[in-house]
Amino acid sequence: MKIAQRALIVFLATIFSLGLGIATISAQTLSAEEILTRVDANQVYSAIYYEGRMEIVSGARVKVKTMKAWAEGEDKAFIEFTNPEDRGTKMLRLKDELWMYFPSERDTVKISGAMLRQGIMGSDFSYQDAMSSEELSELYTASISGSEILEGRDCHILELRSGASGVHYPRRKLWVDKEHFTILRGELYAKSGTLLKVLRVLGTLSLQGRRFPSVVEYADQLKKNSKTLLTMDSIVINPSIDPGRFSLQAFSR
Amino acid sequence: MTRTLISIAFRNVVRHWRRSLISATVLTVGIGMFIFFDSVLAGMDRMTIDSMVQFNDASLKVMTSEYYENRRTMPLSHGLERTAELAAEIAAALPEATTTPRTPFMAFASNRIDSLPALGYAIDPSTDSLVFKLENQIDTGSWFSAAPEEKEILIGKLLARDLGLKENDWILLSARMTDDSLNADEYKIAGILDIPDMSLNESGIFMSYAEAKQFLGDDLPVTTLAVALPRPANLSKELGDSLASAAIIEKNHEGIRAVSIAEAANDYLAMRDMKAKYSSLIIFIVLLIAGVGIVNTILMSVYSRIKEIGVLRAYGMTSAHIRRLFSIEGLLIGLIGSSAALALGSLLVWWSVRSGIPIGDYFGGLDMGVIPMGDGLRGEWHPGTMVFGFLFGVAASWISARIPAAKAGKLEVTEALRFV
Repeated sequence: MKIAQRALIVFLATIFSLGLGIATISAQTLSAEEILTRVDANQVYSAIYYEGRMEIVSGARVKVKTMKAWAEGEDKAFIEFTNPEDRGTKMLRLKDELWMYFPSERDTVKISGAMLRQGIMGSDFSYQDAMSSEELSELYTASISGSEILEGRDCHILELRSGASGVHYPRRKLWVDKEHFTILRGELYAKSGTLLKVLRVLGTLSLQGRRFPSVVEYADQLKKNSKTLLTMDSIVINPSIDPGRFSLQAFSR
Repeated sequence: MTRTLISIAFRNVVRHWRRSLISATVLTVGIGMFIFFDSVLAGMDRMTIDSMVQFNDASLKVMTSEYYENRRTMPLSHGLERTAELAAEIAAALPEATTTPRTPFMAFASNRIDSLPALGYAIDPSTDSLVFKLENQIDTGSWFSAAPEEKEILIGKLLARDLGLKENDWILLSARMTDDSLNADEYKIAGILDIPDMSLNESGIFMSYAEAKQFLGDDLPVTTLAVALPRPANLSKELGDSLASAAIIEKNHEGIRAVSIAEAANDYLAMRDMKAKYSSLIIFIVLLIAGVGIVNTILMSVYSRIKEIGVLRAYGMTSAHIRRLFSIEGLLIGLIGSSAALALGSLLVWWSVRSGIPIGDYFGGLDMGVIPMGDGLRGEWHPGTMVFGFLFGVAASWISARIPAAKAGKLEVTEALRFV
């Protein structure tokens, strides 16, 4: 466990929550591991609050969910859905455990085992995706496979592989902005090499000297015409959060 | 005198054959339908349990205590050790039992357009049919090849329909492996299964252990050992046998949980008990309709013959004789009608047991929840109900005739002759 300075990963946006790194070192001189370390360094905040909007696109059908989210460190996160259909539905993550509260049933469900692969509220984000909070450099061995101009930005292409137990996506391919060390595109692969998900960062914000991914698209490649767009607004870095927020008691408030 | 009254009563039944026929027909239809409905309701219970036993739960399932605690999340851990030895020990303790291993897992099935949640099972194709009846449910395609050239699986018919797939098509599966990482691979659909259990038909995927180990990890454990026991004639004995056998296995093996079908079906059986009062209400309404019909036709028959009663009284019969005469007539009609009802009810029950009521043909794909409808709705023989129905018909007919006859017997001869 890292010290508290080490940040939180933004729950839903865990995999793609990125910060702005000022590239004072020439990117050309960095190794793959060093690039990944800088990517990880950009993903850390001690606490965050944001209001989010999730557009779940499935064919011609679009569902919109809105939410408020709080997170602290790498182990605590809380989301409350605010759109009319799901108002009062809440999610709590504490370390490796995840619970959901459904107000209509007044029922708290622990999400575990095979349920973790299901999409959150029908989105392309699985519960398992939301549970990932480790630093990429801790899980993967990286290599640079090339460079590419993506959305007008010069990017490193990193190939990440892991043989470790408990790593959901044994292989990833990342497009990392050479200047800001932010991930602009990610491909997540199964052990067999089958592409499972693609993420794209469509918008960023500068916050406290870092570049934060404020608009992220996540697409499940096992479905056609399926994607989820997460837009984060009203972002507050290092807000003061009531410690009681990260407890099951917060469900009944 | 009794012999004379029986003789007169018999002649009256034949003489007024139209009325007798109407009364007997009401009895036949009312009691016959009562026997049939009761059989269908009892059959639903047995079909549900049969389906659970034959396709998913077996007579009992053996697992470790740790797996039992986490079984709802279908973990790929807490597996059984020494599975072959365990199976041999079970066979020694329960000589009529047969066993096969199964490892359930959660997956997603995709045709690259849609992705649907699926319930996967790693099975041993060579021993699965010793316990389950999956092999008999091939709708199209075939069972697993002895030496498959390609990665093959079997899937439920409704899952195939939902994904627009048929046999020999390829399906993309994704699932968590034993080490928690994700894997995805394509499989050829060797066969499509039309399984009476609606949930398996909608989401079931079956692959051999050899394929499952490549897909989910070489260290994929056997998490459950399914045990089949002989099928007794009635449901109560089946549940009792499974409980007793589970107790024997648990007693002989520390750290092992044997989940009997009685335990696995606990929710269904509790729901059935709750439903029993509604089922009884249905039966009561059928019986009430039959009873009202019987009483009405017999009453009409007796009241239309009040003048005849006056004549009999004029010939010197006492009111007791009149009452007995009509009671015997009612009894005769009751015996004829109830016997015919028994025949009609038996015929309908025989048909439903043998062929099944093709309710699915009328309501294609009807989801009856836990009641499997794929093979038609099958009744069950219920001798106690048949005897009760027969006696009820005779008694209702007898009482229906006795009450107006007693009233008529009390009338003066002149009043009876003037009765309109």
